[in-house]
Amino acid sequence: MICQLVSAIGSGPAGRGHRLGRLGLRALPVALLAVSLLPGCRTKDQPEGPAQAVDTAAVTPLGSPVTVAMPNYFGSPARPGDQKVYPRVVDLGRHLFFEKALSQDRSISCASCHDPNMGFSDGRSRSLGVNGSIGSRNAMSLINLAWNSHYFWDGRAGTLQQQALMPIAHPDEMNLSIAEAVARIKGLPKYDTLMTRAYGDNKVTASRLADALAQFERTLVSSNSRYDKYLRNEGSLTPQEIRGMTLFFTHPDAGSRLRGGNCGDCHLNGTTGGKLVGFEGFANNGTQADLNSPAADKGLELFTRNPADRGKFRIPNLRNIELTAPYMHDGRFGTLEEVLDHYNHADLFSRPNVDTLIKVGTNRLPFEQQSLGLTAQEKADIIAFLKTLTDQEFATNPNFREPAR
Amino acid sequence: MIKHKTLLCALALATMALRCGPDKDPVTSDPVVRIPISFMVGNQRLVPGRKYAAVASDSFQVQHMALYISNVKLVDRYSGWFWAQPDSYHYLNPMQGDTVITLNNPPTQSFGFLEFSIGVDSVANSRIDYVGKGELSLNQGMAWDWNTGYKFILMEGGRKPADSTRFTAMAIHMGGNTTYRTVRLPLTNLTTTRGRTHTISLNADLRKLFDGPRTIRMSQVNAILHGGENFADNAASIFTVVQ
Repeated sequence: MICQLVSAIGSGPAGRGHRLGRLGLRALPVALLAVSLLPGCRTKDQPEGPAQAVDTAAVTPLGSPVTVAMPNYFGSPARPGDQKVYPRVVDLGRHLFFEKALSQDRSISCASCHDPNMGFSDGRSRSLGVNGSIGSRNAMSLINLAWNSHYFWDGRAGTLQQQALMPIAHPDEMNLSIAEAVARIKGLPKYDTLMTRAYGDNKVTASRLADALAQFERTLVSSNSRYDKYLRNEGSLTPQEIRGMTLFFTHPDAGSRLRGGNCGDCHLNGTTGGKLVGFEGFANNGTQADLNSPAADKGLELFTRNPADRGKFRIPNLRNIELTAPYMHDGRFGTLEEVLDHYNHADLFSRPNVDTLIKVGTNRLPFEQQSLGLTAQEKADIIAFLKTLTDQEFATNPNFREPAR
Repeated sequence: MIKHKTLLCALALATMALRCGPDKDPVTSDPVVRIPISFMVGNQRLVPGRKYAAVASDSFQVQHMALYISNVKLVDRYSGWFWAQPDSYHYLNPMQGDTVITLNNPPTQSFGFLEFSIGVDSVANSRIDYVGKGELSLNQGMAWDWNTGYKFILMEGGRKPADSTRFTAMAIHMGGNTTYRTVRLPLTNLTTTRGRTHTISLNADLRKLFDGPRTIRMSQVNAILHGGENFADNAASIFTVVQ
């Protein structure tokens, strides 16, 4: 909430009035932004949060904003202001995204785990940090991030700005305090120019780093897959892909013999992601058979402290899913075939705290105590549809790759 | 500088004070009609996870609830003439506190009835170009695809039939053009006036979804999906005006 307010204040008309005179007014909302960068909860494997450095430089971008193109059937982003980005800030953010100096041993950048060649994931079950440490979760794809209400598998960040600095400080990831990150960027001459072009002066602050990374990430919109072109009547799908699409968006009704894959109630039509209201975009899809053992990942409950949220994770969108294996919060499934087998599993309906919509989604009578019941052909059809979500334009876009030094 | 600002402020305040109350000043604001809806089960408030009685000893509980109200109209008591709210699609989600419909700038006159529909009309229910509009946005999770349209009422949680000892999953996704229902409620006293916000408070008694004109037992409800005309008939009966 505070970040939204600050962004609204901070993104007012640039360059008007005396910038020095407005610094005093800007200090309060910027200080609030610094405070709001604290993570929502602390557990043993949570980061300590960005350092409380005094953050007095303005986060007022220069130049004119542009609107990131998005199809109408995506609906509004979670925060409507996210449609607007400032090109010079995006450029700064792109450099930071690929900046290995932001890790303790200078070996990894954001792009190491969020690699544009792999749909902004890293092809690993769980990500590798500095010093060879292995994290607990799978690197999420960064595609279409504006259509998420919260960030991380467990929803502990409410805005992209909040999220952006957390991996830098996390001991299992980049393991660099934010104060040190700021100091290192200050010491790199190219950021003098980039920062001044973006914000009007060369001061480096945590807020500016977060804002720039967030704006770059907001440009990562994928909407030109074969499925998108089919929706816009610009292209066609094969009969198998259309069968798969129909199954995907149909909740089965065994009583009336309506076959369905039961995917679309959570992976909504348009974005293929989750709902944006509150935490309705989180669900427990039954990956864990035991949610009480010490090894269990309690997911959203870690953040909300609500036992009803145990084992719930953010429903990711499935754009470019063909490129972002392996799958689930801990990358346990290497192939889409394994994912479909999971949803078809005989035991799924009895997994602890599994979602209501999974439990009522059966293609077989009698209704109770069943399973999804898809045939081998139906699973193959759904996988064929999932592959239509691959967007070659996005996957090869040079603007999303490391800038020339 | 400061003195001029004080004078201006005083002048502005004085002008605003003169404008209070309904009068014939053309710069008075447009009339507004606010329609807050209280979601209840019988005389108990709707809260997530609480167990409620339905028909006989049937029980249910709700985790997620959402519905569409559309095509809201204010109807003249005698002539049947009505004013229809333009672009009238309202996504309501009581668990998220999204429970108020606001009518901006209806004409100033007396009205005898409030009319609205549950669900989305057959035109909007099949058009891709509506889905970018906020209330009909696909990422509220209230749509299937362009053939089957929107879920009109979504209610997810648990149910316990009378002869059962435990709760099992319940998912109601009622939709499809055959479940579209229109409701007309009498108003005792609405005369819209410039410069005023009028309130019509509605009660939605969700118990009547089961214990309504049609009796629906929990043993019959496992997943109502795209269809459910009996449930739709009941849905049309849950709304009353709070006097």
